[in-house]
Amino acid sequence: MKKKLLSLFFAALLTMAVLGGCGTDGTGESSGNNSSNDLSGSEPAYGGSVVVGIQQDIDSLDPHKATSAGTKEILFNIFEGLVKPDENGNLINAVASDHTISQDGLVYTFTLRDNVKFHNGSTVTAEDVKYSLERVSGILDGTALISTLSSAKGGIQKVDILDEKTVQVTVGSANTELIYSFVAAIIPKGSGEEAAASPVGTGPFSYVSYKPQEGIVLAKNPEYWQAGLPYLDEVNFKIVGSAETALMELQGGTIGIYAYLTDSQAQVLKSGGNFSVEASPSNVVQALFLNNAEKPLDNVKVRQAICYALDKEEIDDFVGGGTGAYISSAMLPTLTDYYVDLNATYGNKANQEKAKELLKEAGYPDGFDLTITIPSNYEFHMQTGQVVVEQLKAVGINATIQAVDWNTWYNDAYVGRKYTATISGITCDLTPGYLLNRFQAASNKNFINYANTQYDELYLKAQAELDLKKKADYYKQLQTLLCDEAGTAFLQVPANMTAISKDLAGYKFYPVYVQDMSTVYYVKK
Amino acid sequence: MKYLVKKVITLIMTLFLVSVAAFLAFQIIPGDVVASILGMEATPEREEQLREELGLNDPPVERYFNWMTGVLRGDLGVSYRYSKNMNEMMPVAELIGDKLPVTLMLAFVSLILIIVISIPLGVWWAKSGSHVLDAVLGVATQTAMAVPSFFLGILVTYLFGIVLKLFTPGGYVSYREDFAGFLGYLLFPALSVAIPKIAMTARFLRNSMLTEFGSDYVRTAYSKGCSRRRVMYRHVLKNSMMPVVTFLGMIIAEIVAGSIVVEQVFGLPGIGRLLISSINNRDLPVVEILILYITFVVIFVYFLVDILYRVIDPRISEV
Amino acid sequence: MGRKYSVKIHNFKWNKYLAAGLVMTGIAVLLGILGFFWTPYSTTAMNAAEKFSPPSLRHIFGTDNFGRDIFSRVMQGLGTSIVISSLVVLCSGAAGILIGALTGYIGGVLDEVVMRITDAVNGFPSILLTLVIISILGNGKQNVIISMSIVFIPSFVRIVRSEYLRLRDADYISRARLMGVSRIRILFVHILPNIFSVFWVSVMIGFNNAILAESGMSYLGIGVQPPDASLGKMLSDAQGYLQRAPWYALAPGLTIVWLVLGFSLFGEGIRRTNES
Repeated sequence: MKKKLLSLFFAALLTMAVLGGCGTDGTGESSGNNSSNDLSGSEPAYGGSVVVGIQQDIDSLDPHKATSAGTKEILFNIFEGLVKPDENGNLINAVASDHTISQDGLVYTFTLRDNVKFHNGSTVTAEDVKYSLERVSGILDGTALISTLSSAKGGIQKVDILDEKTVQVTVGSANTELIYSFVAAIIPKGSGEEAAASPVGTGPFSYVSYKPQEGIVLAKNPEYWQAGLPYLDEVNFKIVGSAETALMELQGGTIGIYAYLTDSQAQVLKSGGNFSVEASPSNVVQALFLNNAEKPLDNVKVRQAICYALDKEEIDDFVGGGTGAYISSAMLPTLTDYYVDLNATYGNKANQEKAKELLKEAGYPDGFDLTITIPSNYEFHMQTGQVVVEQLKAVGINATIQAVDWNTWYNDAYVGRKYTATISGITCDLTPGYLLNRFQAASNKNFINYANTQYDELYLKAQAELDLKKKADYYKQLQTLLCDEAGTAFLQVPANMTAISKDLAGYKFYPVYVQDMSTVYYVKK
Repeated sequence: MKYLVKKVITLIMTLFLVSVAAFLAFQIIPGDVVASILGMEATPEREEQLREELGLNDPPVERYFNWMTGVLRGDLGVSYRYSKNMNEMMPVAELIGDKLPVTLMLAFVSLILIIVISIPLGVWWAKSGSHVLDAVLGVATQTAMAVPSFFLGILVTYLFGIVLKLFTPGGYVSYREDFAGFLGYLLFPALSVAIPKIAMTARFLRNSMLTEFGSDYVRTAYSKGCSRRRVMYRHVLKNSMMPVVTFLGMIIAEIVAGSIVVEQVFGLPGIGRLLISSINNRDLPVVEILILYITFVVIFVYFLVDILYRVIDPRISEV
Repeated sequence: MGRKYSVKIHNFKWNKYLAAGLVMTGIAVLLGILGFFWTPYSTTAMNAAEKFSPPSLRHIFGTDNFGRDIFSRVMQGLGTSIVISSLVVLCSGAAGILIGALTGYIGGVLDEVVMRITDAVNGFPSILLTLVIISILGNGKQNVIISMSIVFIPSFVRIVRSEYLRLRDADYISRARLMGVSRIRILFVHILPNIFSVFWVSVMIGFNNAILAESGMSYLGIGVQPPDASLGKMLSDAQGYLQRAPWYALAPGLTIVWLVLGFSLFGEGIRRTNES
C-alpha cells in the first residue's frame, strides 16, 4: 500500500516536471520560476545566505580541469557554457543567445548574448569564446581537456570569429550529440593559467574563497544576465565529513540544504518537521557489473542467471526505501525519447527457478564462488552488496564482498579490469548515447569487457545517424541487445534524497549532477 | 650534560629511521596518485602532464634526497591532493598548520580534563576509608578503562547531543570564526578521549598515594605530631605526583591516538582526518610529514618528561 | 635456584577479580566460540518486515537496518574478534620472546638498534601504524592480523628484554654458564620459564589492546568484510541510525566493553595472585 502511494507520488512528481518543462521548451530562456519545491503562496525574498552540505572536496576550480561530479555540481553556479542544461534535461542557450548547426552536422554557429558579463566586470567577447573552446579542444597547447571536443579525436577543428557577436565552430565529424559538450565553461581570454586560483565565469554566483576539507564560498553576481536571479547573497558549500554528520548538522541547523541523504536519514528528517525531503531521480546507474572476460561470467547463461537471481525491488527496499527506478540496460529512464523499458526481461522480482535452470545448463548446477569488489567509501554500494550476496546465495552462488578503497577500485577494477564482479555506479551526462558508448568492445571505458561485434556495428550506425527519430531507434536496439545478453546486471537509478530547510524554496532538481542555487530563495514571512 | 647530548642524538636517529621507513613504505603502496587526483573522466594526456608536474617520474633515491633536504630547510613540500587557491599546489606546512590547532587543542583540552578531574578524584579516593566507595570507584574506573574511545564518542553523541541536546553533533565551528564556540564543541570529543585516561590516572594516583601512606617517612611524620592534613598534602601528595607526571607523559601518545580516532566520530577537521584521507588519496607528501610529525611530538614529550623528572628528582641525574 | 613456576597450583589463591574476570571472559568466549557453530538466527539472512525491531524476547538485542538479528551478529563478531586477537597475541608474543631474549641476554649494538626501533614504534600511535601497514599490504583479515602483530611486538620485546636483563646475572644462570650449558638452552630452558609470571600479565594487557585495536580497525572499515559481522563495523554502521535505533550501537559497543573489562579483571586477578 505504502509502495503504491509512493509510486503515485513519483508519477505525480514526474508529470509535474514534464509539464513544467513544456513552458520553457524551445524558447531557450528559462525564467526560473517553475521550481519543483515551490511552496504554494510563498513569496521570494531577496538576500540571505545559505549553507549547502556537500560530500567531497573539490578537485579543481578550473572548470575545464575539474573532473569529479561533486566539483561540477558546484562550478555550475560559477561558470556557464554557450549552452547549459535546464532542470528538464534540455539544453538552453546561456552565453550564446542562439545557435544553428549545419545540415551535415559539421559547422556550429553561435550568436553571443548581448551584455553577458564576467565576474571581473568585462563583457564576454567572441575572443573569449574562441579562447575557451581552443583551450578545451587542445588547439591551444596540444592537450585536450574535454575528450569529446578534442581536436585530435574529431572534435573541434577550428574556431572562427565571424563578427564580434558570432562564432563559427567547425568539427571533424558529424555527431548530433556533440552539442551537449558545448556546456564547457566560457572563461576570459588568457585566463587559463589563473583559472584555478581565481575562477572567473559568467554564472549567477562568483567565487569568494576555498578552504581544503572545509568548503567553498560563493557570492551573488549582481550583473547576472538572467534578470531577477539569483536571490541569495551568499552560498557556502560546506564539506560534510560523513552522511551521519550531515544528518546531525541538518538537525542542528548548521546546514540548510543537503542532497545525498540515505533513506533512513530521510525518515528521521521527515518526522522532524523542519525540512522538506524530496526524492528525485539521479543520473547514476547502479549495477552489479560483471566482467565478461572472467570465468564463469564469460558464459552468457551464467550472466543471465545472475540477472534472474537478483531482486531489484528488494534491493531498492533495503537500501533506497523504495525510491529508486529499476533499470535493465544502459539508459536513464528520464531520457524518455531514448529509453526503452526492458524490466520485463528478467523481472523486478527474483526468479530463482529460472536462474537455477540456467546455471544447470551452463554447467554449474551447484553454483560457484564469486568475489564482488566494492569501493568501501560508498555506503550505498556496500549495503547493496550485502543484499546481493544474500540473493545470489539463494540460487547457489557463493558470493563474497571484497571492500577496497576508492583508489584501489579505480586502478585495479575500473582501469586495470582485474575483478570478477563489482557494484558501483556510473554517472551520465545529458548526452543520450553517453552510457551506451562505453560498451563498445574497443572503448577504454568498457571495464566489463563486453565484446559484441553486432553491438559495435549498431553503435556506429547510431552515431552516424543525424535523424533523431532513427537514432533513438538504434539506441533502443542497443539497449535491448545489452539487456538480452546480460552484458551486466543493471539494478537501478537511485533517487537523490534532498533535504531543504522549510525556510527556503525554489530548489530545482536536475536530471544531471548539479546544484543550481540561482533560483533558491528565502520565503517571505 | 653528556646524558642530554646522548638523548638528543637518539632522538635525531629515531626521527631519521622513521623518515626513511615512511618514505620507503609509501614507495610500495599500490595505487596511482594521478588517477586518484583526476578521477574517472580524465584524459590520458592530462594524466601524463600531471605525473610530470608532480615529479613522479624521478627515481626514488633522488626524491627522498630532495624531500629530506627540503624538510631540513623548513620546506615540507606540496600536497598532491589539495591546492592553495587551486592554482599552486598547497604547501604541506600550510595544510597541516591549518589542521594542527584543532588536534592540539583537542589533545590539550583532553589533558586538562584528565588533570582537573583525575587528581581530585584520585586524592579523594585514596583518603576515603569507605569500602563501599572503594569498590564502586574500583568497578567504575575498570569499566571506564575498557571503553574504546570511538564507542565513548558515540555514547557522548547520543547522550549529550541527541538526548540532552547540549551540542549539535557535527556542528563544528572553526576556531578562526568563533573560538568560544569552538571550545564548547571541543569539550565533548575531549570528554570521549579523556574518560578512560581519567580512570587510569585516578587509579594510578590512588595506588601511588596508598603506597606512600605505608612508607616510613609518613609514620615518622605522624609520630612527630604532624596533622593528617599536613601529611596528606605536604608529603604524600607531593611524592605521589612524581610518578603521575611521568604517567601523564607516557599516555600522551595515547591521547594523540585517541584524538585521531575521535576526530572521525565527531567530524573534526584535524590532522587525524587529514591523515586518514591522505592515506586513501595517496597524498604521500602529507602522509610522510604527518608520520614524521606525530613521531616527533610523541618522542619529544617523552624526552621532556625525562628531563623534567631529572630536574625534580636530582637523585636520578647522578646515574 | 630462582623461582621456577610462580603460578603454583597449591598456593594459587582465588580473589574476586579473578572470579569476576573468569566469569565475564568465560561467557564472552563461550558465546563467541558457539557463534562459529550456531547462532539463534542466521547472521546474514535479511528480513524486510523486521527492520529496526527494538530488543524483545524474539531478538534480545533487536534487529538492524536489514532486519538481521543483532545478537547473532554480535556472537559472530565476538568470535572473530577473539580469534584475531588471540592470533595477534600469539604471533607478536612469540616474536617478542625471541627478540627480547636475544637482545636482553646478548645486549650490545643489537640491543641498542632494537631498542631504538621499539622506541619509535612505541611512540607512534598504534592504530595509525596499523593503518599505514594496512595501506601497504592491502585490506583483509590476514593483513590485519599481520600488521597488528608487527605493531604489538615491541611491547612484548620490552617486557621480555627487561626480564632477561634481570635474570642473566642471577646466580643459577652464572652457574649454568660455568657448567658449559649452551646459550640456546640457557635462553629458552633456564630463563624462559621464569619470566612467565610477568609475561602472563602483559599477555592479558596485549590481548585487551588487540581487542580494542581490532574493533577500532573494523570501525574504520578495515579487516572483516560485510556481510560477515564484526563489532567495530557494526558500531560504525549503527552510528548512522543512532536516533532511530540506539540499541544497534549499544549492543556491539557494550559487548566490547564487557570483553575488555573481563580480560582486564582477569589480568588484575593474576597480578594479585602473583603478588600474594
